[in-house]
Amino acid sequence: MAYSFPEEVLEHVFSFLGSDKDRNAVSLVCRSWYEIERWCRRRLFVGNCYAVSPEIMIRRFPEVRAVEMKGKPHFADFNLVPEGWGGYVHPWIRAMSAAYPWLEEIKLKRMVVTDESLELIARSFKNFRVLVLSSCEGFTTDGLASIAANCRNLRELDLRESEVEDLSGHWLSHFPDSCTSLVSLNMSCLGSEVSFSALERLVGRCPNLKTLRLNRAVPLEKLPNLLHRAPQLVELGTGAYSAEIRPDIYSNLAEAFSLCKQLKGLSGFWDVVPAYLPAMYSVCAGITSLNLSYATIQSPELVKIVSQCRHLQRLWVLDYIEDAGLEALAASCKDLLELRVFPSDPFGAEANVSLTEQGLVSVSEGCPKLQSVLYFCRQMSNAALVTIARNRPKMVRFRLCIIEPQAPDYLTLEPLDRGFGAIVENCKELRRLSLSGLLTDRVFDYIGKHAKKLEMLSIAFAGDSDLGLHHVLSGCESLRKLEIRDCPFGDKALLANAAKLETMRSLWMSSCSVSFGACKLLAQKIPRLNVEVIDERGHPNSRPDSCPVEKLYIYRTVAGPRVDMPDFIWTIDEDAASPEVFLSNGAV
Amino acid sequence: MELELGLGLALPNHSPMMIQGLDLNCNNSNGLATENHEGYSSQKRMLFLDQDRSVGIESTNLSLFLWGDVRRQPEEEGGGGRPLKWRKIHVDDDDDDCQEIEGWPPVNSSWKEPPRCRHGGSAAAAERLRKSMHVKVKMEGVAIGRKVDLRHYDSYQALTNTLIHMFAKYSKIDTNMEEYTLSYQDKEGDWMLVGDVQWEMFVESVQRVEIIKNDNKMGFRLLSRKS
Repeated sequence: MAYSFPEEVLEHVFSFLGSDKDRNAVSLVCRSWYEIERWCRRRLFVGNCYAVSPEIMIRRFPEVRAVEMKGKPHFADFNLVPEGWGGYVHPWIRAMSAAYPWLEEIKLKRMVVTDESLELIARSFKNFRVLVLSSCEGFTTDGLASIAANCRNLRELDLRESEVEDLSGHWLSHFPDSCTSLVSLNMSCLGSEVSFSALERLVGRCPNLKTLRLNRAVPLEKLPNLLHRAPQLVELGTGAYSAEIRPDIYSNLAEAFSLCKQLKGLSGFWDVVPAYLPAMYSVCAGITSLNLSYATIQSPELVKIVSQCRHLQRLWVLDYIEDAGLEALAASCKDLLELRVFPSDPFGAEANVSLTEQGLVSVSEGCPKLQSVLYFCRQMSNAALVTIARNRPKMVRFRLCIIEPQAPDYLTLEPLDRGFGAIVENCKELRRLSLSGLLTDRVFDYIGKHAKKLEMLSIAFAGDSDLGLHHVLSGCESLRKLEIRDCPFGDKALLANAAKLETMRSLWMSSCSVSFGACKLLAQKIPRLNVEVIDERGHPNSRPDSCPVEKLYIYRTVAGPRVDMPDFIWTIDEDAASPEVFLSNGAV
Repeated sequence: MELELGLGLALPNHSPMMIQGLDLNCNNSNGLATENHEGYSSQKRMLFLDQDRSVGIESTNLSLFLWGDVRRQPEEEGGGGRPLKWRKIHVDDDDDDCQEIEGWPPVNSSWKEPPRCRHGGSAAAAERLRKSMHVKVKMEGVAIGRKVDLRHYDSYQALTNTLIHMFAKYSKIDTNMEEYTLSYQDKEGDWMLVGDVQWEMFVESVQRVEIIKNDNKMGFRLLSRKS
């Protein structure tokens, strides 16, 4: 029946399909739908830049307007991926600059972006609007200057968590006076002071500016001026929230905040001087998102803030909030969807704040919509986890980090298997889970059986044997990303579930027990997997074949082995080329 | 004063799990494979000791991470929840109370402000707080750079030990002990010798570190970069 409609009609129908999954499903219906769909696909998401090549992407989707792409493994956030690993965006930009002159959006995560790439973007895409560089690195403020100078219709420039080499703050002055299109500017990751007059003028002439996240170098005294020029702001990231205590500064600030009737999100608050916090109380009633993860605010002040933010949906906060503050949160914020509590002293041996499992239990009781949790704490019990699981069966993301590795239930000294088991058993919608604490293979049995929608699982210092990994890989039918560190999981589980890996985006294993021999077998068994061994001790062949590899990153790809591998990554392909090595080691 | 780095043949230490039983066919009993590994790791350990001794660097802590962190108070032995297994997988470590585990707890390494540093008030301290505490390290003749997080170190000694660990494998090219010099680029962009100023001042101003071969050209290189 596909042919009963003209192409234009089907194109129009397809245009209502927002999700990539639906578009992918459509393209599998028949040959003609595949053809029609590929010509009208405007937005692309590439979850792993090495899973496909620019050439393949361009050949299949000739009319793309927006590309979103991810590079390094997630554990790169925690410094587990060596510097120079890869994730270079330049080959993609080069190919797209020739093929997609009408490209409007590029969103990158954990990729290496050079100034050369930024210049090419600035020159190549006439209608370029959105650049989001999330946890990226490799570029300087010079590259940003060329974006500012050349992208005349730029709507969004977001550098969240990127590591930018900060040559000067003058890059902001490169926005031409004709640039009035900015909707979102996030430069919170930059170090140096920007030219403040340039910033003021830019903010003043962009009537649609909704999001402005400043960096720490913007002093509090300057904030009122900016707010006066942009009372329409919806999201504000302040700079340093400190100044000497002066009534005039305070009243200016309070007045400026009171003019911002649309504010829904607040972040920043570096170096907080608590005396200035009441200046923003007037906006609290409208706030839905509050990121205080850089703000050293103690529990009593935090309680005052959260109890006024009655419509809060998302709170990121340091553990200074303590159990008492979380109790206040539970009492006031009935719309809360997401809570993240970060450690103020992650490397300290002793607790510096009074934050326990009780805080999270309170929130799970008081906030009926809670569905996403990231919680760092120093003690946990099975009883608490069971309560949380029963309180919040709609939980979607649950990440718990008990700072001491392999800490048992502090009440019973038992493993936390039962507690996490309750989470996966009760929370049928769970898509992301991070485990910590003392865990045996039993917890993986629960996870494999019950976590049917789980897509991403992070495991550290857990399990007793291959059985643990086997449970996960043979169960968890929706699993796409699995990352494991310091677990006694090895060859047997991996090889027994080799076919599963082809259904997943990636598997990371570091400091586990997988041997180089098993890696070779795996690569041989499933040619569409890239099996990359990261070993900084030199070629794995210089050690016994049964010797475990340091780090292992496995992903499926249609592009074959990548060509930009640094010399500490070893793939099995190279070895296959030298037959004697392969023969002597291949039959483990 | 010049701080010189001898980089020997030592390989970085193995990861902790390696010493656990691996032989899948004998159900966790310690089979041959395990013994092989133990033999292998103790061999490396000796190399490391030799090398340390010969260059007079006081590092006998051979765990995954080389530095001893004096900021941290020692924990009480066996206090409460410290599990047995955790001790077991760090058998190399005489003093595991002092170690930190790379990438754990999993806090984002791009977290710009280590919250335990308090706002110092001085311009220099403010500058330091604003910056990432990660600095890039390059070794002359080695294409790949590395990054170190200065939050983890409290002395030149601790930093040096880690750099030896990181770059040891690259010095395999020379069978003789090669001597290297550590230099760093300060805030003004000048190249300086590591060790010339107090550690705290170094941490405040260091932008990047380079490990330079200690041959005759070195002096010229430093001079020409400085000008």
